[in-house]
Amino acid sequence: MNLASLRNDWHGKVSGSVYVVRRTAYLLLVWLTTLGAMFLLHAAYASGGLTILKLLLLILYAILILWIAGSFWAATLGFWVLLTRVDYFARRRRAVLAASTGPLPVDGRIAILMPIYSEDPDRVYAGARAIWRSLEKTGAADTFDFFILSDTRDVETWVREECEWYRLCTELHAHGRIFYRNRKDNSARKSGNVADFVQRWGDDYRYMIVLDADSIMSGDTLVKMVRLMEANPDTALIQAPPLPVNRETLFARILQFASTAYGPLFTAGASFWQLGDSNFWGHNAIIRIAPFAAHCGLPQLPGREPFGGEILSHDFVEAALLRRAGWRVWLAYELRGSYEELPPTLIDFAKRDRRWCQGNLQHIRLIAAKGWHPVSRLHFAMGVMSYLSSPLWLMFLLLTGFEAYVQSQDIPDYFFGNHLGPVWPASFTVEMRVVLFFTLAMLFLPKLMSLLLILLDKTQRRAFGGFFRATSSALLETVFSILVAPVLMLFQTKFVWAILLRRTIGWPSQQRADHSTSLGEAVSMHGVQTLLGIAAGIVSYTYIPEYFGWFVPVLCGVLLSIPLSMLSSSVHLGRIARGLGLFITPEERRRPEVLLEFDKAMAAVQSGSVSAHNALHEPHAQALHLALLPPDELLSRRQLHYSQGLMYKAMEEGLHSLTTSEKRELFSRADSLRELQDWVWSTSAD
Amino acid sequence: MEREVLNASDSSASWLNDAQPALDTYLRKIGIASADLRSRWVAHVLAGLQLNIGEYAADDFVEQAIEGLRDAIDARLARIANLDIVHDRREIAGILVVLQEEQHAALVNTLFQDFGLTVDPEVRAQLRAAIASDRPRPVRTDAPLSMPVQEIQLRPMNPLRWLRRGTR
Repeated sequence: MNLASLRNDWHGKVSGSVYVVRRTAYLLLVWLTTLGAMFLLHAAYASGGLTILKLLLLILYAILILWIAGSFWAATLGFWVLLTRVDYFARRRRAVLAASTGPLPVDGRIAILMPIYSEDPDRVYAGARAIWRSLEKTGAADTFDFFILSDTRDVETWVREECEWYRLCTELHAHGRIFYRNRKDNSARKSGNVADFVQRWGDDYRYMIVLDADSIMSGDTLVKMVRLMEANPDTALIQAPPLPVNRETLFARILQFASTAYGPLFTAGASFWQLGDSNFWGHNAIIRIAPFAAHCGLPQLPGREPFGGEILSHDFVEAALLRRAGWRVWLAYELRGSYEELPPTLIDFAKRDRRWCQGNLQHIRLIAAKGWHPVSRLHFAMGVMSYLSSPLWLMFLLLTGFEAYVQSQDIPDYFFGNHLGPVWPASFTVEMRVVLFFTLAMLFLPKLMSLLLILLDKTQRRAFGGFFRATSSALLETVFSILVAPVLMLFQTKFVWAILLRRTIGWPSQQRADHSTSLGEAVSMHGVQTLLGIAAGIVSYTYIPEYFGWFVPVLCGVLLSIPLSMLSSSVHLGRIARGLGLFITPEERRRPEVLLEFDKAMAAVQSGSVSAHNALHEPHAQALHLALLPPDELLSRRQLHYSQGLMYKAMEEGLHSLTTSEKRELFSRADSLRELQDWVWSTSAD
Repeated sequence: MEREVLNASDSSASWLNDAQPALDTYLRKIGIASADLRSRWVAHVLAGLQLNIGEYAADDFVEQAIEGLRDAIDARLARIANLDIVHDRREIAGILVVLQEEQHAALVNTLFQDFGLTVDPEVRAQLRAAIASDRPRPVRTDAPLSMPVQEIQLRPMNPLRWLRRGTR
């Protein structure tokens, strides 16, 4: 079968009834499940009449169970797809890749973008080095250019980035192929950074592959993504799901295991019903530049932050804009060789959630906006619910406790009306247990299905450490997730609350490297949570002792949050777990080549070689920094005086006395840089 | 506080001795391995400064010497590479970056052999080859693409307004 016929065949199927059938099936399953659960709960609550409190609980449960059912059925469909391998579109993609083996089109150049913001340059360039080397091995590197797009403000990191970039180009003989740019004005954060690329160099390229600072992608996968784009001219974006790798702390290793073991189920399921209306995850995706430029210029939302202003979670909006313009967005869940790194500790994970929470809640305003594809609205709603579900769960728990208290105060009346004998109150314990079982099953069955998939496949089973270790890891992960879930619920509730109070966060850089959580940090982050847990335990034990047992799983996680956070941040425990064969992932057991390249690059890191002072004192660093600066703009008299004032401040009080933006001001202009250098050399030459 | 102004008769003063090691270190760091070559360059720069010695304050002298040295280096490179010392500052800095690579150590010594106006065509060719292979090229030539800002028509989020509209 040639490529043209594959293409036609593809379009034939896409325009057919597949979309309707799959989506109808999925939505029916979700709604029927929700209605079933609601029916059971309503039956249980109906005794004694429907009070306002019960009605409120019913509404909350309806929202939550709808959310859970959506996730559960996506996972179940994913399980079915992966088990039977019947997904037409994945098979078609494989066929396209098998049929297109020639060189990549010479007229369609590809830019790999790595937007960075105050990241560890050693880590960034180790990733870039691994990707480039892997790309060279495919023989297709000539079609690619690599852009390190820095938004870094801090001068020390900026200078290090430049030096490392030059070293990388020299080492890989890639001058004129790997580029570096530090943006003068970092407006609109990452989306602004990418938009700046498109506006300056976009016309030179047909595709861009957008990475994150911690992304690693194999050359083979990059080439495959390009081939898939070439075969699908109506597609503007293909997302390759990234697998988490490289972290060593116990917390991150458990998460790595969970994402690698359970993730494919969810991505296959999501792709099953979303089809060509999938979402963009912000990185590890290939984008057709022309439609992106034409349709993805992001506006500012009216009003002030956190709900107005710059669009923070730009990826969802960009995917929705592409869909609005009629372009397809696919999730190629079967693509491997796409990696990212996870936050190393529970606290870092929560901090990342804080940023994502603000971005996703901003989408509340976008759900109802005019012109979106219905699936795009669903993406927005799901993004919002991924954070809003936490306060809703908390509210549901609190109201359930209150309802239990109200019930416990009721004195049953056995003799009423014309009945001769006592009338025993109807017991709805069975219904309540069924509801609970139902909910828990939907939460935990996807884990079981994933484990089943692993155990049924010999290669996978071995890759996860064998039957016993894979099963033990899944069990322990389940216990861990039960303990951590209420802690994250409290964190996310706090974040949502803060955002509703219109408290914004800035754009803090992330702590990505492995590190342990200190007692002080753990107490400051989890202290209030622990106190809340103690109070909730005392209240529930005192007022509703018969229901206390139901709250124990939630209370345990909260009460243990401090030791849990500290212990799980331990690299030592993470290594012990690996030694025991627990939480092993296939990428750990047999490192893919691109990750081996990354390991090699990280091992060769020369630490602490360059700083701002070096940039002034080392002619090499200074010349490099000067060579990379854009031409100086003419300054007004006021600006000149300001700049000169900063220079005197640096000379009289030292460079360290300048703030980040002041230092940046001096390092951004060739004339002030030279003046500073002359001063440093005259005062501290060795 | 009044600053002490230098005069030519101070030529043997300590400020001259202070400047020499700083200039020597600077030259060593840009890759000139030959001590003899370095000392000739230091002498050349200091001689140039002494012509206008009356313009400098004593505590500024080393700074002036460094600036003079860097200007002399830039001028030399600009001449060899046919660049304009004012307008092509970045390109000249780029050449300095290239020259500090180990593989070009021999070329550095050749380039700074003299301060004269004539340049050996062979040296120029060598420099051109080095620049072509290793010069830092931060970005490609611009290939701009317009990215019009999209319109997103938000609907009011106030449920009361929805209710009111619904009842209408």
